[in-house]
Amino acid sequence: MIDRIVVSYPELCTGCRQCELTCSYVHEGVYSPGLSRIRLVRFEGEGLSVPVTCVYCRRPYCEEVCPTGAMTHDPQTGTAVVLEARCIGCKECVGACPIGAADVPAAKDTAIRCDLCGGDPACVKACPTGALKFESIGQATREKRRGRVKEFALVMDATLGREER
Amino acid sequence: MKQIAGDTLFIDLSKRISWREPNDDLVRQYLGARGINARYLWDLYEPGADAFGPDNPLIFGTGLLTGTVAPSSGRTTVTCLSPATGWYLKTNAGGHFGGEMKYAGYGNIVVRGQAEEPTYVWIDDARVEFRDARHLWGKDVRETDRALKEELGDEDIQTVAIGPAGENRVMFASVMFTVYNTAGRGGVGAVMGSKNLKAVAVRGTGAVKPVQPARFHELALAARRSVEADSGFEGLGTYGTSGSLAGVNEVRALASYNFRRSHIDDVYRITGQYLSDSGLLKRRVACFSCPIGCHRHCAVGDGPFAGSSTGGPEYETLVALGSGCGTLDARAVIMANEIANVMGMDTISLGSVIQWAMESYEKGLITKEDLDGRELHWGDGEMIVELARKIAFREGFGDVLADGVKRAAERVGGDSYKWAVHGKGLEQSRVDTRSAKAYALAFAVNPRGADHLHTETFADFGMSPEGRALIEKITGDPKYTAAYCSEKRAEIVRWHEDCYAVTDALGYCAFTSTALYGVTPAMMADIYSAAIGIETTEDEIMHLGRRIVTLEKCFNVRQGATRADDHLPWRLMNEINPDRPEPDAINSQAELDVMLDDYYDLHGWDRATSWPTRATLEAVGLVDVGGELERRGKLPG
Amino acid sequence: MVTAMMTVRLRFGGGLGGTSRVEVTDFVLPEGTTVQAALETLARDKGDEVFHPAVLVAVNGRRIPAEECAARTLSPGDALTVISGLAGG
Repeated sequence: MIDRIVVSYPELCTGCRQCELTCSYVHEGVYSPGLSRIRLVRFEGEGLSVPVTCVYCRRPYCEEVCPTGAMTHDPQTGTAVVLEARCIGCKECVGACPIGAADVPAAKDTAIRCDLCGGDPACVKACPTGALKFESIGQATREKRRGRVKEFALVMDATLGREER
Repeated sequence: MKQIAGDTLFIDLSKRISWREPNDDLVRQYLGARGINARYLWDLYEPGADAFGPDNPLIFGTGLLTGTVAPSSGRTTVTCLSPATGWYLKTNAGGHFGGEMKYAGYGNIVVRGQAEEPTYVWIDDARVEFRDARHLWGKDVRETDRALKEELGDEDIQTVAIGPAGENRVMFASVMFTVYNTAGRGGVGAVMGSKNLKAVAVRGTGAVKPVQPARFHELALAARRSVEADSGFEGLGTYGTSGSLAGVNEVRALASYNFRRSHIDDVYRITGQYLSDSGLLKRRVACFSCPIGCHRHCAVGDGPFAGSSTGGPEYETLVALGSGCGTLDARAVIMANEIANVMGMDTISLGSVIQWAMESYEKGLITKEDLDGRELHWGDGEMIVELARKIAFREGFGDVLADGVKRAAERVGGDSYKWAVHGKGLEQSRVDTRSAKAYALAFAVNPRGADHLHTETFADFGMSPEGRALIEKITGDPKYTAAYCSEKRAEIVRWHEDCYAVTDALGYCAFTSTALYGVTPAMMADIYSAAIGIETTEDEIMHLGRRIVTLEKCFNVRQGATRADDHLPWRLMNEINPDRPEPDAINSQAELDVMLDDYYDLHGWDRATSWPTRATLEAVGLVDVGGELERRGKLPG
Repeated sequence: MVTAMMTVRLRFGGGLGGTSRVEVTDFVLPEGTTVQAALETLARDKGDEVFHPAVLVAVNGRRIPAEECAARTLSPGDALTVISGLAGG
């Protein structure tokens, strides 16, 4: 059901946090990275920053462990939904998510998870370097293959099977 | 407006207590950050108090807009009396500390007193703790940041710290935010060291909310689009400020060999373009909320400087530690930059004292004996790196150099003052002001000393159409976009002073308004209005900028400054720039006097003394400041 | 009639036109060529980027604004610089 997700390219991430600030504003009306559904993992001594957000597991443990059914998804689109009225803030989802993309921020006390902004993720639009793309993993992989091969494809074109007699 | 401005946190290191106060009035009068800091410094500093004593307040202030999505808006100012110059000091840094500070609920932090033992302050939202830092004393900045993150059990806290240079009261010791972001100039790190304050760590889990959130968000997005549309946006992000070395070199303003030359032949090897091509540049790094991303992270893989990995190098660093010292070895510069970063030292001043030492050695005023048997020749990258270490620890001749170029020249004597390139005791930024007259005026009048970070009159070089349009707007004629022209410089400097003060106070990076021109004063007025919910016009916000600039000047007046202190370094005022086609490329006293007269007239300051008049102080809303100056006999006429 | 030619030292690059280095070459032009005409000749080789707004055009170290390029003529031995201006300080 879910085909496209927010794919991150950490080699392009400069750590500016525009994604976090935009996400928290769009979802909560304030600027607070703690309320963002996408988080940067920072290694400041090395100048590195890695964006992490929900990758839409085929089998979402966060939903399976939720005792109240608050952590769920839209049956039509497959995008995440947190039924806040049902969420008791038990944090089982936080423990279950293998990559740390589910959170229960102190300022909110109910769970948050990336909902892809209904199909037009705000973080992707906010990223100034193209470190976030809204694409299917299949598409991302195809582009990675092509991008690398392209470097020497033109050389191949010039040299293979071109021997003249 | 508390949810965007934050409170002021007062910290008394002597009594180990803290308390907080709301900021609303100060925001309306001084905007934020640098502006509010300046008011605290005026109110809390008593003339005569020792820069290294308990009564020199050390004030941190982050922008009013810090914490929001406004582009490049997370900058933080540090303010105190400079131990290097004895004058007003404000210094500014990017990184991410400001954002965290604001989420913890604070716009400004005023540190007073002096701790008995090495201490760090841990700010965990509303909770403030004084903690033992004896185990951290002696550690470099990177080690300190790591140790704090481990000790406090949170990799996402933000720190500001000093390294050994600050502990050893090096006169150009810096404070480092988020490891590599330096509030560098004037010895602010030495002040922090004198307070036995090793670091401040902060965790903020709160939220920032403008009074008019929807309007604010729209204006922030528009500001970002405007910055991105500037013709220099892509270049600045791709190459950093290190990308402008070639251009500055072409217009004969690239300070080399301690300002003996302003043009070098093979500049490429120390440009940002080379850093990219050679693979020395590993990553681009951005400050809080910044779409430009001009910071660098470089690392050296082979050669004598292999293993070096650090934030930087920027334009000033590449010139101060590169061409200024007669070397084009970018790897040496990267290593020296790393030492400066982790020891906590300003690279401009570091480069300046080393260049001065090289020239003094060449002229026989410093010998091998002074240098523990070592020779010091122009271009010796390994000596640059070795001296950087010695200075941080005040070892050997490093102890002389650690006092800055003015005091070092006084100590060594002879003619060495002639090539001590400083203004007011602050080593000059690496722009040859004999080739750039707006910079010349700006450097002479900057309250903290001879540098560009009070105005950034980059538009003067005319390298972008937006900059040229700005000069035309200010002066009425595009012909004044000529760096070598000395007319109308007062108007250009004054506009930039006001704009820069507003920029700093709001937390915007100067690159958005005075290097790129995407954020204009009109836009700043609009977003400020949405932030605090009080309509403010462009004229009104520039007026607040004017007030901040004037207050800073008043601080120096109270300290004893007169017109004579608005000067440029001896070399630039007495020696002709040999790389220019004109025979008289010099910052002569006569030329400076004409520009100063214009500048003081424009400000409403007395020509003879440079002091603001009573009428001017009333007009700018500093009546009480005028009263105090009058009591001290510091009002003209 | 033979057109008198002159040699102008061209300094080009510094991030412009994919050329990071500032390349220094001799550029042979008819005497009396204006800066604008020189740029047009250069553009045929290096592309339209030479007219990009953030490009620094200078003669002998003095910047020539866009509006003066058509009027300013080059002399033999002049150094014509066309490089990326960029920003910051």
